[in-house]
Amino acid sequence: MDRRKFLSAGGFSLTAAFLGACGVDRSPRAQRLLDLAEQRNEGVERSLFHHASMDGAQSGARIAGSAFPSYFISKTVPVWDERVRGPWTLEVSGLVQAPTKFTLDDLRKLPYRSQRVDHFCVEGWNAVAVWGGVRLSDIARVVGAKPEAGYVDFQSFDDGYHESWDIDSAMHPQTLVVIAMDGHLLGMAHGAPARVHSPIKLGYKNTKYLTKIAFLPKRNGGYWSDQGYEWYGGT
Amino acid sequence: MIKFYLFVTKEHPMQGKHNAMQKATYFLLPILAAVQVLTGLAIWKPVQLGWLTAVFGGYVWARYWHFMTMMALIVLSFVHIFMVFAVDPYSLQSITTGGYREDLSPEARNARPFYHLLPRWRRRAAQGE
Repeated sequence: MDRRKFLSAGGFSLTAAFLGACGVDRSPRAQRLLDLAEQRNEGVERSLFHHASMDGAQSGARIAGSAFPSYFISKTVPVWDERVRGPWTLEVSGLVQAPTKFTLDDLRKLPYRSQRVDHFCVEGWNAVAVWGGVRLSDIARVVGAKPEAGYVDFQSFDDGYHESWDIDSAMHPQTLVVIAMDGHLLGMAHGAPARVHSPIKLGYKNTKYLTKIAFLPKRNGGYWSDQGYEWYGGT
Repeated sequence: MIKFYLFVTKEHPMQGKHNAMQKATYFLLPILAAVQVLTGLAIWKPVQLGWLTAVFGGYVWARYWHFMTMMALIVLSFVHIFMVFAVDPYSLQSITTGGYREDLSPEARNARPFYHLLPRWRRRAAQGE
C-alpha cells in the first residue's frame, strides 16, 4: 500500500465513521463501507476470543448492589404476571435435540455457579455484582444443542427486546443464565425471573427478562444491534 | 527559552533547529500516541486482553489514561499550530513547498509569540532608519 492509497483509504474510512456517527448520510454506499468495517472488526474480535480468558472483578472493587444501573425498553419495569400469563418458563428451542421448557425450579436443579465479575456498559461505566445461575453451556448439554447451531438468540418479555450471540461467546464458561444477584433472588429491576449475564459481552447483549433461548443457524440481529450498535459487542 | 518568552532576557537564545520545549514535545508525541492506542485496546477488550488492561491498573484506570492522553494530544496539537502563526509563520513555506529561510527564523527576528513577526530589515524600514 503506497502513501496515496493509504491516505485515500484512511480518508474514506474517517469520512464514513464521521457520517455514521452523525447519522447524516444514509447513502447505501456509506452503509456498505460501514458494514464492511464492522465485518472486519468482528473478524478481529473473534480471533481475539478465547474460552479460557476470564474476567475477575478487581479485588478492591466494591459490589454495586442497589446502585447497579438498570435499563429496560418498556415504559415501566417489566413484570411477569402469573395471573395473566401463567407460570413463567424458559423455552430452549431451535437447533436442539430436545426442546425444553424450564421452570425456575428446573433451572435450580442444574449445576449452580456463582461469579463475582464486571459488567461493562457500552456507555463506558462498569459495575461489579455477584451473579448466580446456570452456565448456558450446561443448558446446551441438557437440551442437546446441535453442531449446526452457530448462533444463539436471547428473547425477553421486555417489549420484544432480544439480542443474538455467536455460539462461542454463548458457550464461554462465564456466560450464565442468572437467577440470583448478590446472594438474593434476581430483582425486578435487573431482569427477574432470569436473565443472561456474561462479562465477555457488553451490557446491551445481556438480555434480561428471559423467555426464550433459540439455537439458530444464522444470526438474528438484536434490539440495539438493529439500530446501529455493533452486533458482536464482545469484551 | 522560557526566560526569553517571559521577557526576563532580551535576546532569543541560539537553539539550532528546535528548542528544548519543541524537543520535549516531539519526543513525547509518539509515546503519547502509543499509550493512546494501547489504552484504547485495553478498554476495548478488558477480558480478552485483560493482561493489557491490568498493565494500566485495571479498566477504570485504563479509561482515565486514555482520556488524559487524548487531552494531552489535543492540547499539544493546538499549541503547536498556535505557535506556527504566533512565532514562526515563515515555516509554512517549509511545510508546503519545502525550504526554510534562515534569515526569517525566530532567532533572526528575535521573535516571541506575536512579537517581531516582521523580519528586522522590515522593522527598520518601517521605523524610517
